[in-house]
Parts: sequence; C-alpha cells; structure tokens
Amino acid sequence: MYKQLLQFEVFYQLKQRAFPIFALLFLALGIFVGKQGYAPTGVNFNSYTQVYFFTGIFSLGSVFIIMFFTISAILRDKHHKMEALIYSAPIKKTQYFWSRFLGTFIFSVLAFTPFMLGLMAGASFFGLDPERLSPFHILSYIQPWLYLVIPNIFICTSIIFAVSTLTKNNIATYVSAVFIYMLYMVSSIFLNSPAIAQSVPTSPEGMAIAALSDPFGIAAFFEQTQYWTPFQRNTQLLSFSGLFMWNRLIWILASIGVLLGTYALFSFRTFNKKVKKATKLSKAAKVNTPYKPLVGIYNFKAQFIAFKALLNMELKAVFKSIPFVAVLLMWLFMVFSELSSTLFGGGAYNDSLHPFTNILVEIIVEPLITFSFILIVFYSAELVWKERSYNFNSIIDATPVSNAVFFLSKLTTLLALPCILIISGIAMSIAFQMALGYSNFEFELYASIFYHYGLQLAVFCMIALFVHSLVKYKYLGMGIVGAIIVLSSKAAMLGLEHPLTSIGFLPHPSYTNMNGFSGITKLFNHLSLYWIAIGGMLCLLSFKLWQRGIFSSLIVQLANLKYNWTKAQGIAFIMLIITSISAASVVYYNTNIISTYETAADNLDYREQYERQFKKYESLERLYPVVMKTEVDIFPSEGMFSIKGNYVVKHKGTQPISQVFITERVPLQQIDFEDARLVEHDSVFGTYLFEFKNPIQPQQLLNYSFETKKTLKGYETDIAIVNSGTYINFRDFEPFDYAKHYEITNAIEREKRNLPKREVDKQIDSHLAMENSKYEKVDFETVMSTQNDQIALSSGELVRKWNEGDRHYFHYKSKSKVIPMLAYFSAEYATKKTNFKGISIEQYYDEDHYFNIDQIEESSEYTLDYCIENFGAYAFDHLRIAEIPGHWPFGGFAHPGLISMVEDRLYLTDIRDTEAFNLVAKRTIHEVAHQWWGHVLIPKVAPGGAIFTEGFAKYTEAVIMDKYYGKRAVYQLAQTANRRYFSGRSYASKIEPPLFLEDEESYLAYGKSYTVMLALRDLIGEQGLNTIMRDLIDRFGTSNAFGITSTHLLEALYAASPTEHHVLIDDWFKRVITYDLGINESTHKELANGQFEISIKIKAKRSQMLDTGDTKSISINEPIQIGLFRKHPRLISKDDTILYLKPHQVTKDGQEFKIIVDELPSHIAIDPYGTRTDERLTDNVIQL
Amino acid sequence: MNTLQINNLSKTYPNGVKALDGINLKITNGMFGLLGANGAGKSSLMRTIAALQDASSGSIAFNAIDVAKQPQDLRKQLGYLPQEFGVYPKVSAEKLLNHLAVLKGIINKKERKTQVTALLQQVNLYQHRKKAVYTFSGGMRQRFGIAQALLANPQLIIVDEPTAGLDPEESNRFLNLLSEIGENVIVILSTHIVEDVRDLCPKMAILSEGKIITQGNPSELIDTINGKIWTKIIPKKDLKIYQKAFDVISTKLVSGETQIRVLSDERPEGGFEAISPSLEDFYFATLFTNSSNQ
Repeated sequence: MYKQLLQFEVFYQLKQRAFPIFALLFLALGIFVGKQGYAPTGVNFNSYTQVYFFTGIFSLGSVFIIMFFTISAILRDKHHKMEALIYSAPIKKTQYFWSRFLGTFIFSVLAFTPFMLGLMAGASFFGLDPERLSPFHILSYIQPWLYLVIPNIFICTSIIFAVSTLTKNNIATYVSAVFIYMLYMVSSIFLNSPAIAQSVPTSPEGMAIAALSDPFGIAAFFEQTQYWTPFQRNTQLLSFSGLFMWNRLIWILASIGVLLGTYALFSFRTFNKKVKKATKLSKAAKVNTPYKPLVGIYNFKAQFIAFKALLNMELKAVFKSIPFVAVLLMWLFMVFSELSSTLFGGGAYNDSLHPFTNILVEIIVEPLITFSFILIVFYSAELVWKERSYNFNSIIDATPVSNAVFFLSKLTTLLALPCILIISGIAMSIAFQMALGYSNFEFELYASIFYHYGLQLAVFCMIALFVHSLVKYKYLGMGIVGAIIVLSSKAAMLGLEHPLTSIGFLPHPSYTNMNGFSGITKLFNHLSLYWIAIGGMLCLLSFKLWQRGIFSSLIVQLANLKYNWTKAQGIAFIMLIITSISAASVVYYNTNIISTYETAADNLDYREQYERQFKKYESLERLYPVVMKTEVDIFPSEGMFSIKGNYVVKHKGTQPISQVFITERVPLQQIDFEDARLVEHDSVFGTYLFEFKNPIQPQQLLNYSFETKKTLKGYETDIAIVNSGTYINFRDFEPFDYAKHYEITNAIEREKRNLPKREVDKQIDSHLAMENSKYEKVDFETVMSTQNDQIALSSGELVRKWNEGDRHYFHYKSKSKVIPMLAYFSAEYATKKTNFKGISIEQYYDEDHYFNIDQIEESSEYTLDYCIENFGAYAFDHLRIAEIPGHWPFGGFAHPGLISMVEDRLYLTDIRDTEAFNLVAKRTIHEVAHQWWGHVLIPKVAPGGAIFTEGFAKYTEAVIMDKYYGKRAVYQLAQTANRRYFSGRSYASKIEPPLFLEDEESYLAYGKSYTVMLALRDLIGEQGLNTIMRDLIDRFGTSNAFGITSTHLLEALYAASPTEHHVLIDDWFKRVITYDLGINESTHKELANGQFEISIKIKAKRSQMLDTGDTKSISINEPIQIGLFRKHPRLISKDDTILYLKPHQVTKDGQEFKIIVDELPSHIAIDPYGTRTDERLTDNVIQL
Repeated sequence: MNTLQINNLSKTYPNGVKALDGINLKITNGMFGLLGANGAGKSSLMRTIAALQDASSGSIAFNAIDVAKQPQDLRKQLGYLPQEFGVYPKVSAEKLLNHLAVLKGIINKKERKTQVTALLQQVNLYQHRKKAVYTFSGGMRQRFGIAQALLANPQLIIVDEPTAGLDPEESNRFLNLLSEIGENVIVILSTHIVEDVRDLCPKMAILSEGKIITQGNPSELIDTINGKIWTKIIPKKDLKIYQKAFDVISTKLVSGETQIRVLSDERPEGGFEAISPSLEDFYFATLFTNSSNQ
C-alpha cells in the first residue's frame, strides 16, 4: 500500500508542471550564480566556502518549492473537494501521512539539486578567470549538499508540512514559510552576516545564539568560518563540529519532533470535528415585520457608504487573519530587536547611541521594505481573489456597487498594510525614545517615512492590483507581482538603469541630523510624482478592467475598456498622463540634458578612453607644493564652491623635466604654471599638458595657480558641499596628474576591451597616508568666505574675520609649516572655547548635539596633557574640533590643528551610562593623538608606516583610557582590536604580511599594531616605551620631509631591550604569529596561614603563518600576564584594585603555575587585557 | 410594466461548448419559469442576464437598459440568487445581509434594519441571525441567498435553482413569497423541478442544449398534448421493446413496478390507458420530440 501511495504521489507530483519548471529554474539559477564569479578577493570562485555560501543562501529559495509541493500534497484534497472521498477510503493514517510527507520532501530535494549542478557548470564552463578557480572537487559540492541542502529541505518541509496539515489553510502555509525566513533574518541580524551586511562585529555570545537559531545553518557556517583566511577558505572543508554540528542536530531533531507531533495531532476526521453546539433557539414570539421593497439610492453618498462598508469588511478580515497577525508580530519583534541591539551597546565598542529620530528611522525602514513586499505579494492576491475563493463573487458582483468602489476598497486595504507596519514601527521607536528619556520626537521626520518609503510601496500596491486585474490565475498573478518586485530592484541588469525605467530606482533620501535630507530629495520628489501618476493610471485601468462574474477573455476585457468612461474618469486619465509625462520630462531634462547621463557601460568607455589617451603621461613627474595659498568661496545653499589656489611647487625628482600633466577633479576655470604654456587640452576629460619654456631643475621652485568651481547640476549631489556641514577635503578639488584610479580594474572587463593587464594597485586605506611620499610640510594660508549664518573653518591661526555684504569672511594662516592635508569646513556651528595651558580648545558643533561637548573637551585636555608631557610640545596654539554630517563614512579625521568628527559617531553617542565604554573619550583621544602621530611624526609612505600613525594613536588611546577609566576600557579596546584583526585578515585580498611590512592593511594598522604596542608596554614598561616614542619624535619630527620607517622603530626597540627579548620583538613585528591562550583548569587550597594557593593550568599555543598562507604550530617562550581578580577583568574600573597581575614566563602548552594570594579570587585570567592576537579572548578568563 | 427582451443570444465557451444558442425571449412582469435539465444552459443564461458573463453574440435589454453596455444600471434593478454560492467566514447572517443591503444602496440605517429583519423573518432565519452563514446547512444557506436577492427593490429577480436543498415546507414558503413579489416585477425562476413552474408561473420556457425549444403558458402548453399521453405498467425486462415500438417519453417506478408513458395521438396498443397529462408529461414529451427531431 505504501508503495502504491508513494507511486501515486510521485506520479501526481511529476504530472504537475511545477516540478520540471522548478528544476529548470534552479538549474538556471545555479549556472547564473556560478558564472557570476563572485568571491571576496583572494578567495576562489569555486572554493569550498563559496560553494557553501551560495548553497546556503539559495537553499532559502527551496522554501518556495516546498511550499508549493506541500500545498499540492496536502491541500489538493481540500481544494478539489476530495477530502471526504480520500478520508473515507481504506487508507491508513500512517500510510497517508508519511507517503505525502516523503513525496514532498523527495521532490523538493530533486527540484533543488539542479542548483548544485548549475553551480558546478557555471563555475566550470563560463570562462571565469582561471587564476581564481580551484581545481574541481566533487566533495566541495557533495558536502554542502549533505550538510545544508538535505537538512534544510527536511527542516523546512517538516515545518511547512506540519502547518499545512494541521491548518489546511493556504495562507497559514505561506506564513510558516515566511516564519522560517524570519528566523534566518533575525539570526543574520544578530550575526551581521555578509548577507545582510553591516560593519559592526558581533559579540561571541550573540554569534552563538545566531548560529544555533538559524534553521538554515548559514549563521553557523559563518560562525565557523568567520576568521578563516583566504588560504583556508580555498583549501579547507567545513568540519562537522561545534556550533555547526549542534545547529544541524538541534534543527533536525526538532523537525522530527514537529513531524511526530503533527502525526499525533492529525486526524482524518479533523474536518468534521467542529461539532455544532446545539444552540437553544429562542422560540420567542415571532414578530412579523412585513417585507417591503425599498428603493436603493445610488448617488455618490451611497457609493461612499458602500466603500466604507466594504473597507470595513476587508480590514476586519485582514486584521483577524492569523497570517497578518503573525507577520505583524514578527515585524514588531524585528523592529524591537533591531532597535534595542543598535541603541543598547550595538556599536563596535558596545557603545550606545542617543535615540535621534533619524537614526531610529534608518533602523526601521530596512526591514520595512521586506515585510511590506511580503504583505503586498500575498495580500494583493488574497484581496483580489477573496470573493472568488469563497465563491461569494456571484452575489457581490451582482450588487450595484461600481468597480471603482470595489477596487478602491481593496486598494485602500492593501495600502493600509504597509501603513500599519510603518505606524507600529514609529510607535515602537517613540516608546524607545521615551524609555531613554529622549523627548525631541521630530514627528515630521517620522511622517517622512510615509513619503520616502510608503510612496514606493503604494506604487507597488497599485502595480500588484493591476496585475491581478489582468491575470486570471491567482498564483500566476502572485508570481508576476513577486517577479516585478524582485526585478525592479535588479532592473539595471536588464539594461533599465535610467531612473525613469524602474520603480526600483526611486532613491531613498538619507537624512543626517546636521544637514537634513540629502540632495537626492529633489530627484525623489520628481520621480515620485512620475510614479504616482503612473500608479494612478494603472488604478484607473484596473477598475475599468475589474472582472465581475465569469472571466471574459483578455481580448473581450480589453475591448470593454472602451465603454463607460465617465467624463471625470476621462479627464483624470488625461491629467495623469500629462502629469507623468511632465514629471518624466523634468527628470529627463535634469538627468540627461543639464548633466551628462552615464550608464555603467558609458562610464567604462570613458575610463577606457582616458587610459588609452593619457597613459603615456603617467611617467611624467609630479610637482609638490611647498606653499599653499587659497581663496575658498562656499555657497552652501546653492550647492556651489569655488577655490582659487596660489601654490609654490617644487620639483622633487632627480632629472630636469619639461612637461607636466594635469587632470581636473572639479572643472577648472583657469590653470597656470610659471613659465609654461599649455600645449594640449582635452575638454572632455579635463586634461592639460603644460610645457615649460626652460626645463625645470631638481629642487627648483615655481608658481602654480588654478581656479576651480564646483556647481551641482541637475540631480547631482556631493557630500562635500551641503546645506549645513560642508566639508571640502584637499582630495575633493585639487587637480592631480595622471588619474590612475580611472583605469578599469576588473581583469575580465580589461581583457574584453583589449587593455593590457594592470599591475595590482595599492589600496589607500589607512586614513593618514598621503598619496605620495614626496609630499612635505607646507606654509598654508587661506581666505574663506561663506554665507552669513555659517562659520568657515580651516587650519592655521585665525588672522581676521569680517562680514562683507551677505558673506562671512575668515582669514587663516599657519605659523609653522603643516602637512598638506587640509580641509575647508562651513556650517551653522555653535561654539565652545576654553583655554587649556595656553592652547585654545575650540569646539564647533550643531547646537542640538551638545550632549558630549564637555566630555570631548575633557578628553582633549587629558590627551594634550599626556602627550605634551610624554611626547613633546603641541604644534599650535589652538585645537579645533568640528562636527561634520553623518554621511561621512569614518569616525574622525585629523587635519593640522583641526579635527573633523562625524556627528553620529561622536556627538550622538550616548555615554550617560558611566559603566559602559566611553567611546567619545576614545575617539577624541585618538584624533587628538594624531596631532603627534601623523602630524609631528610623519612616516615615510612605505610598508609599516601605519604603525606610527594608527598604532601609536591607538596606544595613546589605551594608556590614557587606562589612566582615567581603568582597565575595563583597555579590555574593550583589546576586544575590538582583536576582532578587527581577525575579521580583517579573513577578508584580506593577499596573504598577511608581518606587521613591520604593513602595507595599507587596515586590520594590521588598527588591529594588530594595537596588540603589539600593548604587549611592548608590558615588556618594556609604559615609561620606557614613551621614551622610545619621544626619541623618535625628536629625531624625525623636526624635518619637513616624511622620513621615519618601521626599521627605525625596531632599532630603537632592540636598543632599549635585553637581547633575549629581541626574538620576541621579531615574532611580533617580523612574523605572522597568532596565539591561542586560555585557562584550562584551576584548583585552589587554603594554606595554614590563611592564604590561598591557586593552581592554574594554562593553554598556550602559537601558530605561525607561512608565506604560502598555510599555518604551523610553533613553540612558545615569552612572558605573559597572569591575573587573579575579584571580578571579571572587563569590569575593573579605575578605583578597583587587582588582586594579582604579573607576567609569567610561559614556555609550553599545559604549563602549570602556583600563585599564593591573600584572598580567594573570583576570576583567573591569562593575558586578560588582550595583548596577543588571539581569536578567542573569552576563554582567557575563567570564573572560579 | 418591466420588459426583458433577449435577442438572438449565443454563448460559446473557449473550449468550444455552445452553452447558449440563439435565444429569443420576451419576459414581462410576473413569474417566468425556465425549465431545463442539468447542463441545458440555464445557469449560463441566468448569469448572462445578470451581467455576470458576457455573450458571444446577441443582446439583452431590460426596459431601456442594454445589459452588456450598462451593467451597472441593470444591477440597480437586480436581485440575483446564484445556483451555488459561498460566503465570508465568521460573519453572521444579520451582518452579512446588512452589508449587502448597504451595497444595494439602502443607506438609511433604520430602513435597512427593518428590511433586513423582515427578510430574515420571511426566510425563517431570524432566530439564526447571529450565527455565521458559513456554518449554515445547505437549506439555511439557500434561504439566506433568497433573502439577499430580495434586498432593496429589485425589478428583475433571477433565482437559479432556488428550491434545491429546501424541504417542502421551506420550499412552499419561499415560492409563495416569490409569487407575491412577482406580481409587480419580473421573476425568472430557473429549475428542473416541474411542479414549481406549474404551480407558480404563468409563463415558462423549456431550455435544452442552449436552445429554447418551447415557451408559453403552462396550462396551454399542457393542453397541446391533451389526450396524447398514454400509460402502462410493464415488466421491466420489456422496457427496451416498448422503447423501440413506441415514443416512450418517461419511465417511472410506481410501487416497484415499471410504468411507462407514451406520446401518441391514439392508443398505442391494448393495456395503455389515457391519462390527463401533467406539465411534467409535457416537459418530457417536448424533450423527447426535440431530441428525436435532431
């Protein structure tokens, strides 16, 4: 019997056209994904982890297959009204249940498996760069199939099958599918997995929760591989252990449990179960109201009342439907977890943010779109098909309610769904704000969600209803709506990248508290008018096409479109057409006519042309400024600035030169070199070639002047020039020579265009690196002007400020030479100034962002104090700290005597919790310290240079934080630095160099250099290390040129330490060594004298990465701190004393120590404050 | 006086089935019975008149309303009970009827309540008014359907197989109500139950394979076969022989014996007795004649 049932199941499912369609679809998807050639740099396209990654992500898609097969397996009897027949047939429950389950499971696996084949084929046969392909291993496909595909499909099938069997309800079945997604999404949010990319690393605890809670095992996969280097990713299979194993086991067991439970609950007779309660009918005396016909009224009012009645009915039905409630609850859960994880210690330093409305809005709109799409896809179909599915349509369609009213009631209901999400999201955000004591709710900002996000969703609603009014099959319509939504976000791939061609291009204006909405708002306004007009037209057509009664063919339907146009409808339609055309014209005018419209292909052509035409000038020497005088006129509200530069430049090469080549960054109005004539000018590329009358000799000086003007045209935006918070960096306007970065980097694209192979370009990452090592310090002077209500800032002493007309002028001039990393600020600033030991600490900030001003001042003072005492004099009589808007993607940037700080990374950080890590202090100290590390001591642009800028600044951070906030601050710094290091190297494009050869690897600059500096502090002592650093300043900080390299540091370190430590110093600087430290076990006993003897057995492993990227274990012999604490080391504040913390010579793994102390500690730790690169710092501490 | 004029109405489904084939009918106030076997095209005709389905050719006019082009105007005058229908779950009879009343343009709350109450009482659902229609038995649901068809002031009432599933008492009550209303409006009653038409309808038509094969007043139609219907009780095994020999229009079991009726101008043979024909005999005779003519 089993056999026959299963055979029938196979026969039935095979006959469904869906099976071959799904199989083909997933094959195609596999090929498409495989041939994309997507992998992080350094990782091969078909490496083990990439195949895992793709398999995991796309196994999410299997849910659709499963949903379909489940519905056809379980609900087909109900749909086809076969229930009674099937349930009364002599089939046993076991047979019925398991045959249908197996049928669904097997067919889902069979339909998904072609994806793997496609992936294989895609990687093998589509001409991917062979250097990025690993040799073909069948195991790299079989293993993920076994560990991910089979279990995932089993898990999903069990859950969906269970829900479907027990509820016998389509929507409940969809919801169970969505619910599974939701689990995945929530866990990836915890994990910040690359699939939902966020930059903030996660705590190990959060990661463990995520790894276990994700039913697809993707989070667990990320957890296991998060710190893998590219080498490992290419060569290592996943191990079935740890959280990954537990995830698989837990979910499979849970699924089996669900299935068994379902089996127990499932009954053939379920559908009869509802025994009608024998309600006692009130046999009250029959009041006989005679029937009298009543003439109906069909005016506008009646139609409006009908609309209200229909809407009421629809809304009630939706709100009462379990699916909607389920989606709403999931949404609220999502919003809650997102808000709380961001607002409460969600930052990289577990820091918290003040709940500014724009920050909350940003958090809730992300999931809003996804949830709304789910609701729109499902409920547009459900609403349109509701009457038909209840077979109530023949009654309701015969009522004299107009199509428009029916349509509008459905549309309004559909629109209400995203609105409810938005409103509930806002309500929750406000609740959070109130809980955090924040009262500036900025309701208009909340309301903007309806406009900036709701509008796009509304247009999607209209499109969805239009589709359903044309398509005569519910699920086909649903599929089309889903496809439109997905494709509209990928429209560029279909060649529809013009803003007018896809609703997906509606930009979402970003908002920063300082500057308000971004400049893209204008484009948004025009585009939204355009889309709403189109949506309106679709609506009109939809209710003209609205089907009543029996469907007529599409031809008849379209033919009927001619009839019954009322005058109002006609006028409305014409108005909508006019509106959409006018809006489209405005957009077109601004995009294509005022400014040049460039497709991705045009852009590549442009870059190719540039390279072909001007590559020959790459070898021409560049001239470097020694005197910079500028006149900067900023017109924030007009989106315009003009800069005149009068520079003195120097030829720093060794041979005389006769030509110089210039490419403009911002359109040049004028450019001139002393004694030179323009011999070549290309206005398309903005290039200039000058020839000198007499060749320029090495070290010769000459005058150079230029004038640039930037005007934002059309919809152009530029974060440098905004309403309030203009921040123009030297990189934003200074003309440069041959623009190497124009060159196309993609190797395949280059081959296609017959361009020669390009040597790998260094990435400028570390933010203090100058573009070229030949720069030197310059004399600087500027006269800036801005609008009257703004303050203009730059480096140098303020000579004079004055008003002239409606302009505000500022004249700055530096007394001493400064490094030419100059910037120009303009904003409506509030100011706070204080004099600290002759240095004027000046703060410029948005007046609403006053929370941390005192803290910033205090930290600046601490830093100045410490640095002046330990590292020498401060170069200026002022220290300016100025706020810039949150659209800048960094934390802060140190210009000479002037620091830019980003609003949401400093000013909006909530540091009211004094127990938490003080991020404001950390960032301030870091940037102020750069006034020494980067501005006085300037490394040569050579490998290892970042040690002096970032490494030393991070060290300064740590010592000052240690001094004022205690060890717990250092603990947090170590955690973050270590995570930065390990996650950075796992995505590195090349094999990690040793620290002293650091070459723009930010994970070395901000990660490893921190641990090494702190390890040196333990080894040499803070004073000793400070003396070395100060000596370096004295030796190298006085010259104009940038001279110091990492070798100088190593020499100084050798000189200051005993010979036996030199190996260790080399280990840290010259080798790539990682540690695995921990406390294995510990016992204690009370001694006769009342003291305690603590025995500790440690884990101490080291491994070294070889040049190949492979690693090997090596021995250990070095002093490492071991500590005994009265509380967890992460909690030790400035006032706490530590029971015991001393370095011990660690010579082997498993080494034992005995320490005698006066009282029993609560925590025992090795290297508690993370001075070694250790993937897992958490096991360094155990609780006794 | 309302007039429904159907001219040359045909409907062919995309699968080639010809559901309606050149129908011409003129119907005025009063009950009009549309008799036909299952699949004869009754529901298609009803739906087309109710503007729920378009015709392939031909036209329908109700008074001055062209149904195909002004469906909305027709709906204002229409009461329609489809052959089978479902309802929203979890909505009580009273609420649903009230809702439909709103949709039918009864916007005065008080009047609406009175009419809803009256209709619920007429169809004997008043005591069940708080229950969800979804949970109703077939008969109760049918009664609800009747109630909604009478909402507002329909001038054209189309009831498709209304008594199917009703017990005789309910059926009677319903038909009485219909005939009461039918005095001033057009009521089209589609059914395969001959008695309903005989008892109520002054006019009728018989629909077979999409065609009107006859129409007229029931008694007058019966008169046309007066004296032509003969009956005989025969052994069951002989049925085939009789069917070959005579125009057997119907066969019935009477107390376990087979009784045949034969259409014939004179007594077919010994043993046959003349009976005074019923409408049912006329119906079968017409179907028989029609099929043998083809």
